Formats: sequence, C-alpha cells, structure tokens
Amino acid sequence: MSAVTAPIPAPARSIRNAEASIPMRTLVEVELRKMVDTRAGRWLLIGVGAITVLVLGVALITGDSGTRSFTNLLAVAQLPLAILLPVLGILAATSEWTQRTVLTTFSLVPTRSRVLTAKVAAALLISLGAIVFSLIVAAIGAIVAPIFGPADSDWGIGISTLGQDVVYQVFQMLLGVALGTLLLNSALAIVLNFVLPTIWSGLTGSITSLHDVQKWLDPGTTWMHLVDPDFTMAGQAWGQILTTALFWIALPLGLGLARVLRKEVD
Amino acid sequence: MIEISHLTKRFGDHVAVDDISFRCEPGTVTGFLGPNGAGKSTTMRALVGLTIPTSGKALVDGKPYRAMGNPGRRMGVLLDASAQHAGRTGRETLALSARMLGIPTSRVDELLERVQLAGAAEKKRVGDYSLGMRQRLGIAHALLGDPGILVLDEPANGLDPEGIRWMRGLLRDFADRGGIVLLSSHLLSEVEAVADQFVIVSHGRVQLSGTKQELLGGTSTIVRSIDPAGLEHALRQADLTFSAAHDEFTVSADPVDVGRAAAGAGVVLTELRAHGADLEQLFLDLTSDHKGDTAQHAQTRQEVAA
Repeated sequence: MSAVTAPIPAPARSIRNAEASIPMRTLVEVELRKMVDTRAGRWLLIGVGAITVLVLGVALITGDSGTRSFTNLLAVAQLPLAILLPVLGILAATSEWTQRTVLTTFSLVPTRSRVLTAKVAAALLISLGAIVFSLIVAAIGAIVAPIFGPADSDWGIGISTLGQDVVYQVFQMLLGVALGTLLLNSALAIVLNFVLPTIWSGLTGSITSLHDVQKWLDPGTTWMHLVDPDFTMAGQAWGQILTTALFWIALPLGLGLARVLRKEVD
Repeated sequence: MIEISHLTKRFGDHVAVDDISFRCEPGTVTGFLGPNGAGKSTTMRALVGLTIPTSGKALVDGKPYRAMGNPGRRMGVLLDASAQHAGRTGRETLALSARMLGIPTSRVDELLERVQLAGAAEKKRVGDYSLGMRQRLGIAHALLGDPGILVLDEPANGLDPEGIRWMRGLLRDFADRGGIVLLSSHLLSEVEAVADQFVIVSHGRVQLSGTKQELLGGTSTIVRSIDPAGLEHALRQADLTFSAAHDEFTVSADPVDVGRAAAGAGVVLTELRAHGADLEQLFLDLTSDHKGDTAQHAQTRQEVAA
C-alpha cells in the first residue's frame, strides 16, 4: 500500500462530475454484464446452451423427416431456452439482495426504479439473444439433418412464427424476473418459478369449475399456443395470452417494484 | 459538506437513531464513534438514501444524496466490505462500478495497485478473500469515482496494524487536500490519531461532539470531601459546572477555583487535583451501559464542549 500520490480533486470538480445522470444505456449494459460475469451466471448460460443443443440432437436422432426440418427444430429449441433462461432473470433480481450487493448498486444509483428498469431491459436482451441462438442452432441442425436420416427441407418460417417465439421467450423471462423481484430470494423464486405454474396448470385443468381460469390465466396453456406449430393464432388466443401476462408478470412485478422501492437496505 | 440534522429512525418500537445532528466540513476527518448498535450504520445509510429516516434530514452539499445524478463521483462510500458478490473477482467488482460511474479501467488498475490487490489477488473471487482484503477492496471501491467525500463504516475492521496506519495516512491526506471524511468505529484508538472532530453516539443519541481541542482541551478538577453535601452546595454557590459519582466530584474549573469555593464554605477536602480529560475514559464513560450518572456526566461534558 504505497504512499498516496494521486491528487485528490478539488471539491468543486467532484461536485461537477456528479451532476450528470448515469445514462440508461450504461445501466442496462452493466446489468447485462452482471448476469454473466459470475461463475454461476456463466455456467448457467453454458448449461442452457448445451442442453438446447442436446435436445436438438435427440430430436434429430429420434425424429422423423418432419422433425428434422428447420421449422420444427426452431420450435423444439424454444422450450429448453424458455424454461431455463428465466433462472438468469430470477438471479438478476434476487442475487443482489442475497449477496447484499444492493448496498453498492443503490449507493451508485439511488433511484431504485432505474436499476429495476435496467434489469428488465437486460433480461429482454438475453431473451432476444436466445432467439438468435435458437435460429443458429436450428439452422445448423437442419443442415446436418440428412446425416441422421431423411429430412424435410422446410426452411420457411413466417415473421409471425418468429414473432411468437420472441413473445414466448420474453414472457417466460419476465415471469422469472417478476417472481424474483417480488420474492427477493433466489432459492424460493427459482423453485416457485418451476412449481407454481405447474401446480396452477394441474389445478385449473383438473377442476371443472376452474376451466375458464385455465383458458385465460394459465401460462402452461395460453403461452404454449405461441410455440405450438399446429395451433393457429386468433384474436381470442392473443387476449388469453395477454391476460395471462398481466396476471403472471405485471401483477408480481408491480408488487415487487413497490417492495423494492420501500425496502430497507442492510 | 455533510449535514445531518435532527435525524431520527424508528424500526417499529425500536429507536435506532434519535435526533442526531452534526456537520462535516471540507478539510476535516470526523470520527463517528460509539458501541455496536449505537446507530452509526443507520445514520450512514440514511445519508446514502438506503434507509428512509422517520424524521429529520441527511444532506450532501445541501441536497439529498439521491438528487445527485452520479453520486459515486462526489461521495465514495464503504458501508460493509462483506456486501460483495462472492462469485465475482476483485477486479470485476471494481470494473463493474467503474463502468457505471463512467470512468476508465486504468483507474481500476491504479486503485488495485494502491490497495495492494494487483496481480494474483485481483483475479481471485471475492468469496475467497480474507476480511482484510475485502476491506481494502472496499476502500478502493470508495475511491473509484475520485470523490471529494468519503463515508466509511468501520473501515479498519480486519485490517492489520500496518493496514490501519496506511489507511490513516490516506484519510489524513484526503482531508488535507480539501476532502471530507466521515468514518465510524467502535474503537476509539482507531480514529483518535486521524480525526479532527468527534461525534460520539450511544443508544441512538449524540452523547458528545466537538473538535479534539474542545473535547480534550478543557481542564477539570477532581475533588472529594468528608462532607459531600456541603461540597455540592459550595460548588452550586460558586456557580461551577460539575458532575458527581458517589462522593467524587468532577468540576469543570481549575483546582484553585474549586479550592476557593470549598474554603469559602468551610468544607474540608480530602482530595483536590487537576484532571486532564482523557478521550478514552470519556468514550468508555459515555458508551458504557451503566447509565444514570454517566448521562448527567455526558450532559455536563456537552456543555463544556459547546
């Protein structure tokens, strides 16, 4: 610890330096970096990528010629990504509290809603990255498909299919972020992220009087339509998808935001 | 400038901070002293906007902390060295914040060098750091934005004696260049050598505050008599400020004035001696739990300091 030689700035300079707000772009970039600069984050990404490739591999080996088409492989790739990547979103929302780095984060950015906005934006960028990744691996899969057996050369995906994949990835991710923000506890949020929608689907599916609830508020039903190649989207389906999003994303995220804005940091 | 005025924070029934007021001016190091749980950390968190006060204000340069767009460039903060992501390397911890503050990574290298974490240590995960290393990383983090104010909560925790001496030099130098330093400690010895002024808190209240000169400069007299009641009366008559513990009186006056007052009343003394204030003893008196007469003692001292 050598003698201090660097000049301490005149107070006036540090006052001036502190005036300009940190741009939102910087906040998003930092939040994105936080998701992947820890060992847990890095391995999670690598794991999700590996599992997606594995699932595609299984589809190529065991499927028929229709399964081996680009269109179908793209749909297959969506599921592992949409199920596992939200864990990254959950951790982005919770780990600051479990690791207590909120102390630093909110010291540097005292307007907490800006941090939360940046986290949501970073999570959305991860989802878009997932779409790009799924396009690439599905394309590679379709190219090597003839090695595994007869394959349909079906490269046609409409903009609507792609759009639906994006919405699916984004909603699944936001569900994770919303639960994380509400619970602020990594383990609890991850478990509930997997268990809660399943229980919900089971309950609303098996109890006759709850069938309407399932139709409008069950992500396992309404959001699955987004990635079901055999399902033709209509106006009502979109309504059901959006009401589900309000219930599973907007509600917990709103409550979580209110909680984070008030919470004592220690 | 830091200005804490009538700050109060309640958690349910518990009053963590009770009407605390003090100021920190440029060029000074303020030692914020008190036992654990006295309200130091809560006060500092309120200053940074991490806790919302029940009443009162905590201002930086006359404004709330959150009014600053990029507060890390004005005020470097170390509230808890252990509050870092265990899975991140030391270098990445600093680099992330540097990106946030909008300062070049060269500053990260410079600071890692300065706190002796450059090289192998910067690539280790913070979870594998010793407390001393985390503390040094935290100090580097506080200095990152080239601030004019430093607010450090128990920065000496876990530092070895050499590290403590290094930190003192750094803080003294920082203040001498016109910076403002507020540092807390539950150990007086850690800050006594470097601080210009002291704010001593206990049970959420300021028990005593003032410059080193004010706190240590005043002379007092210890006096005992075979007739404590008579002595007390004599001291009152002479208009002297004093406190009493059993039959021992501590008077804020020179021995000659105390002796004259006793002689005038015809009180027989058994002891009369000058007593230079000892900050250590003062601190222990103020912060020890047997209150009662120490509370009165504190009040008297505060009058002296004022």
